[in-house]
Amino acid sequence: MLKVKNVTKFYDDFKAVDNLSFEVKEGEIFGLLGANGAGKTTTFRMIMNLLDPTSGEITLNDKKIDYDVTDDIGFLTEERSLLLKLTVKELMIYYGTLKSMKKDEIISELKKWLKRFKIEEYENKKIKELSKGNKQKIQFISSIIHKPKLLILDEPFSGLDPINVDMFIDVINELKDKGTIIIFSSHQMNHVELFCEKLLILDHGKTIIEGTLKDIKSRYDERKILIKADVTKAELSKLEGVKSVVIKGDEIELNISNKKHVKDIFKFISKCKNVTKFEVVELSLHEIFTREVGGNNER
Amino acid sequence: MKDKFWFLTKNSLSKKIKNKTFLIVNILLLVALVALINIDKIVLAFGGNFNEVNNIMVVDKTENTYDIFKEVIDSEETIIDTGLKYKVTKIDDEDKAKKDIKKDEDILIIFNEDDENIISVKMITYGYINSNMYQLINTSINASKQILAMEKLNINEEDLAKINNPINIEREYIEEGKNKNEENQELIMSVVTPIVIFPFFMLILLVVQMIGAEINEEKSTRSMEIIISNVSPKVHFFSKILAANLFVIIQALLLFLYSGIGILLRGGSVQTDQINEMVGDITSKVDASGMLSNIINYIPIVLVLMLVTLLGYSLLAGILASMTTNMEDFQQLQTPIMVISLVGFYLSVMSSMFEGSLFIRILSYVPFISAILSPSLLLTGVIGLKDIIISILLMVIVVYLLIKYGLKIYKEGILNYSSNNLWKKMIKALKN
Repeated sequence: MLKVKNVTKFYDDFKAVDNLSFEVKEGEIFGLLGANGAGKTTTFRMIMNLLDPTSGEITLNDKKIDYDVTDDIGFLTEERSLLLKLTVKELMIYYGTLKSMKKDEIISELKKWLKRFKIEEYENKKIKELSKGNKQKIQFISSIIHKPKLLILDEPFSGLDPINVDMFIDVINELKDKGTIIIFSSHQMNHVELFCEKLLILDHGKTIIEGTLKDIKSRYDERKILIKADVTKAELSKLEGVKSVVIKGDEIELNISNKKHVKDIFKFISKCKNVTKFEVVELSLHEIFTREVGGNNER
Repeated sequence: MKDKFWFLTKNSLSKKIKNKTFLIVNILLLVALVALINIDKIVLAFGGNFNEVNNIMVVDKTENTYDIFKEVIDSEETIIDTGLKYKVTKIDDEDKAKKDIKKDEDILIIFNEDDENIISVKMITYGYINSNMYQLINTSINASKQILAMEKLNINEEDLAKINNPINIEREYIEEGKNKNEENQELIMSVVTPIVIFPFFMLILLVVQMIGAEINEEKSTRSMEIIISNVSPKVHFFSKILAANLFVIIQALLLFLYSGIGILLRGGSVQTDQINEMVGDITSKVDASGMLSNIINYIPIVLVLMLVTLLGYSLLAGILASMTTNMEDFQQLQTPIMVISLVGFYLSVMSSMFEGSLFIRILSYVPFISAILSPSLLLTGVIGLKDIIISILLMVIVVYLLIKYGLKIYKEGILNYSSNNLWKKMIKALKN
């Protein structure tokens, strides 16, 4: 289990992380979210033992994270950390050896992963010759080749097409099933919603939202109703609790201030002609994020 | 962690050695050094108009200059050794001789009587002639004129020998341990500068650039984060320093090897060997004074000073490189290192001009400069073994301080990705 306990980090007088605490168990995917400069990278660097916390403690399986423990951690950085002049194989041997792996083991694992990601032909190609998406695959392989107990994924899907995103998601879910502790960070909230059971949103170093995705969403009474029926925007605007009405193609999106109004709106719509859709949707993570963080950033 | 240190060192070293640039540079160095040592052979092997026989036609209106000139030019050629072919013939018909000048190798020399200068000379050629041939003719004419003058003044051979004999200045020194041969600094410096000082200066530049480039490559690609999350900055720092120093030592040994190959190839020569003569001249002078045995004794201690200094330069380069994020920033930040080494280099080259200068002697103890300046001062007898030992001790202290305080900067700087306030950040890291 990864435990981050009351961690604070100062850069001179600037408080980058303020009393941060969370726990991630084996087989859990934890989303660490925040706008740029919220303190995510500093948190990752502290977990990776690159920075010492000013106060607080970080442990992995009850051991303080030091150079004896970092072999068990895999880190996919947001900005790509690839030595471009090396070949894929050379890079993996370099990074793998730094993770205390033997050369033979590195090569056999590499072959397995290259096959899995359908890029076997790139084994002896220089990194600089690869496309952005393939570089990302290599970066991902380098972070999981040593079978880490803790995997930190900072923007893992950047530069990937939807097919490769699905491929990554499959692998991440497999690692989760094998008991890997995964910390995930992305600005793409739909990705976070895909597989993060627990998440935490940082804003200016402080935790502003924390919990399971279900719990967090349930804290908001606002709802969206998606309607397909013969009804006008003006008619819907007059209904109680309706905050806004947006026409999206042949569909109408109704934003309501409280879920208690759903029943009355349903009654109204059921009287309309040609009703083919009436769907009540919770606020998306994206909406929650922009509401909580966006507002604070505007200050 | 120990395994990772050796892995990083081995990886860094093999990356440098397997680099194509290293291979190309070394092939060029081998070719250049072998060529430089055998330059005369190469020039002759390629041939050229010096293979043509220079036809020196002499019209002697003085009646007695031709014979002297012919004798003199042959003896001068054995001294100057231009390697040029020539034949000297006496011509009576000046107009016919002029008509015979059809190419650059045809030279007509006309000797005339001259009351004031004993003889006057006119040289007619087709165009410009080989400069060595011109020098040979000029020297021979002057020597001929001297002989004619002696004859005119009725000076016999014995007196002529006395006039020509160089004066041997007997030297006496009040200070102990001084001798005449050490005064021949210019000759010694002409050997020390290209063989010792310049290559060492180049190796300093190489080690500084190499460390800067490698650290900045890892920083600019952000792979530093992955590396430092697996090994401590201390392990990373020392692996880079060790690899760079080993590389420079290998490069220095290769330079020696290439020079050896050049000398070996030269060894088969039966021709007059100016380099061998020059080296022989220097070594005989140095040996006569007993300096040669001293130099051989000094070599290990000077090498120690050079190695400690290289270590110092590489530590400094590593510390500065940790603060920068790209090579452009590093180039700016390393300027003080370049200035220091350049000062040492120029002082070393010019040290013979300021013999006895207390300022230069004091500078020979200054860390970073001492290793560049000391070899020349040592060979010219300005400093001795004790001075070198003091320089080594001072450099070791600096290396210790660089490791102690530099590591603080390195730990702070290695994950710094901002180019702003670099000096301020370094001072802050030291305070921390």
